[in-house]
Amino acid sequence: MNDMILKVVGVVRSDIKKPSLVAHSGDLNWESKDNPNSHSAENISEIVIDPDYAGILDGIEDFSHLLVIYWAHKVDDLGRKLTRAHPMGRKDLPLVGIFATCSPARPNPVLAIAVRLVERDGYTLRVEGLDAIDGSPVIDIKPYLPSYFFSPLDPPIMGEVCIGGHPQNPRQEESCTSFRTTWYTVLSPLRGRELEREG
Amino acid sequence: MSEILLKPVGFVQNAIKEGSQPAGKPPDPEASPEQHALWHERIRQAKKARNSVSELVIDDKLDGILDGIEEFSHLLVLYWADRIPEERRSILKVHPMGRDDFPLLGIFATRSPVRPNPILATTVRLLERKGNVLKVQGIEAINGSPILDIKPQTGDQYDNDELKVPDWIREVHEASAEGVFDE
Repeated sequence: MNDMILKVVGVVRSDIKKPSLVAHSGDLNWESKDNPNSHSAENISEIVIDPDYAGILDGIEDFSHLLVIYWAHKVDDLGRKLTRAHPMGRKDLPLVGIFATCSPARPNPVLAIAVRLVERDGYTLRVEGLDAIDGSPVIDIKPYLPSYFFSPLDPPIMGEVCIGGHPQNPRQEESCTSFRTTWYTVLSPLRGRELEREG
Repeated sequence: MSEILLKPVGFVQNAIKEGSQPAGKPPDPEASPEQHALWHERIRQAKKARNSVSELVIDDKLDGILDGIEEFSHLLVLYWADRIPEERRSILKVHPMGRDDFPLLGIFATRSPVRPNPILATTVRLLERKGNVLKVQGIEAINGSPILDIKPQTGDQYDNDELKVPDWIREVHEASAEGVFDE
């Protein structure tokens, strides 16, 4: 197998300058203080695509929403070795495996989030709801599709993908619900609605 | 920036040997009924693959990384389409499904597996966890595909009514295994 080497196709320009959730001493730490530009669902960011990839955006303006995949470049080698953590750095929650969390620190810190496309201007996409910090390398963008495009037998939920560590973002909390009762309940004030849907 | 190297955290194990989604226009049923039947058979296979059960075998050196995952019913799996030849990663535009009657589009306006970084994202249903093996439904990755990441899958973020898509994508999906295809 070839090495899986990422090509950086663009970069995020955002007012969010520092990550809030960081790996520290073998767990996650919430470091929101000194980070006034915390994440909000209404945050507008720019994705600037490398001109070498001219044409790769053609037709993208016909979609209202996109799935953005980016690299959490502030996660260091120790963060990539983390296998368990307390969700959102909260010690009152159970210690769980990284794959059961939205931690940005993970073996491959490839983060994915659905955003609203506000505008395309040449190589620049202006988007709403991107939680990436300024300077994050962008590695892929895909159309975000309504769920009825998927198999009628078992329609998967094309929901927001869990992204690490922004409990102050209400939409993020909403996204961190599962379809079963879990400890995530405490992170989600909207859990009641989810349970209703489960019926 | 230094090189970003991904490491596989596991591999997909299933009976899918190749991508079965046929490319191009469906053959004319009058002029070439056999080709037409074959094309439909491949669509049927692709659809079957999509609903089949796969195992995600996670590296057992990643001690405890799956703990608590069985609390979730759906997961997002990120995997690497390792059958895409390296040189195809520089392709910037495609006709969806290889059909020249569809517009030529930038790769980022499509869900083509051929992309600068062939990272594919699929929502799966978690059927069972046994140690470091997850039994899941809904992934059409080819057997042996390297897994990059697994995340809890979440509720709908946006309502379907809120989403705007171009007309061509409806046609593509109606003609593909992903769409509501009349068998």
